[in-house]
Amino acid sequence: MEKKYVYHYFNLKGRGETPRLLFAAAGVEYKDDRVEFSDWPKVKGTTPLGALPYLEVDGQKIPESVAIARYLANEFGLAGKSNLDKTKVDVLVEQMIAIRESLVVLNSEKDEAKKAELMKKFNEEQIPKCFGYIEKTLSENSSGFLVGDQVTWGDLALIDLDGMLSNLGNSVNLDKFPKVVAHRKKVEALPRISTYLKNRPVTPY
Amino acid sequence: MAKKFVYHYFNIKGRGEIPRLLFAAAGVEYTDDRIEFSDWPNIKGTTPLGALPYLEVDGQKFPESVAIARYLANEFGLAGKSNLDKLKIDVLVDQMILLRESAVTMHFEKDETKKVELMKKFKEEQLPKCFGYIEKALSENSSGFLVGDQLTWGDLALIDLDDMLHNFGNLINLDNFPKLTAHKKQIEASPQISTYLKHRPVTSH
Repeated sequence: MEKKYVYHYFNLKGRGETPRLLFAAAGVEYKDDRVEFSDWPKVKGTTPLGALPYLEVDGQKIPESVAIARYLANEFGLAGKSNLDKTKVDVLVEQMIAIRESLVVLNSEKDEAKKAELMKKFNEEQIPKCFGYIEKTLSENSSGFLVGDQVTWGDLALIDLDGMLSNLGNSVNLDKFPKVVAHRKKVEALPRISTYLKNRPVTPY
Repeated sequence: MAKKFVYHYFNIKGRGEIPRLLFAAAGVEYTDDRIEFSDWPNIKGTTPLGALPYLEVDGQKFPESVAIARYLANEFGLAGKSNLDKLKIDVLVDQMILLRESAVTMHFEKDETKKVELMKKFKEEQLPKCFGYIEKALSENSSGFLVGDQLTWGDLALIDLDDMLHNFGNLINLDNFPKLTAHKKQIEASPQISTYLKHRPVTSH
């Protein structure tokens, strides 16, 4: 019997978009419960850890967007073929999470001097380190995907991060990383992903 | 043919102990390469991401201690029996990592005022939240393990976290968490773990 999935997150991409990309890539039905900010105070107490997103599956509520993404990837055969490949994906996703977290800290820093310092570190150290590693990984894999010869959740996490970095005041120039640029085009052109991107709600971030 | 594992980390428990606990629990041989701080400048360039730990397996180098631990757990059958159980473990480990990071940040904060603030937040919010969630998971599982009916890497991550919190000036009073106290006793008494704990190098943290 097929599992029933309900995915609860705000009406944003934010930290919660990779699971939605996974459902789309796998062509699996789910309820995409987008919670309005105004409803959040009422909803908060019903979540496992007082935060979003969480996934409902088989009557259980599971938080943590990265753990959810890894779970769905494994359920849908989009996690990588071997244990080593799965680990390679995990390592790449860890780098992406670190960038995402740095950006959150940067954006919420109120002290102008400190913010400038963080921005410098972000642009001169963190971005080159993360995307250098990703560019190298793509160069070593002729398929054009991050790991193996088909799309994995690592590829979806990367296009999600790319999207975040092109947004609003987060503009990062990724032209220095031609394989990353080619990767984004390739993954966004996959039929199910392309359709999903055309039809998903437009949100500021 | 059995895989050859070489695990590279500093001669501390720090962020790198969980993989060692996994090798011990599984009874699997490996080279435990403990790096002296004085040698680190020479070694840094040979690591995949300029940091430790990294695992060498089948001639490939993998960084990121949590990804390594998950990989070894899956290799050794200590990852949980179903995809959903693996997800539950991932979520629990995520909470432990968050708490670890908070403890480290707090411990190394030099500004006294800020440190007091962080300590308050740690003791009044972060610790109760993390260990409340863990205590609940243990209460709902009659085996005494975190997830399922046998040892998983989640259990090893937890005893490692307990240990760390004690090392950092007794940050946790386990009396408030009876299931956790029982868990620690149960895991540390299992033959392979007990032997490992008796013989591992004694380090400050």
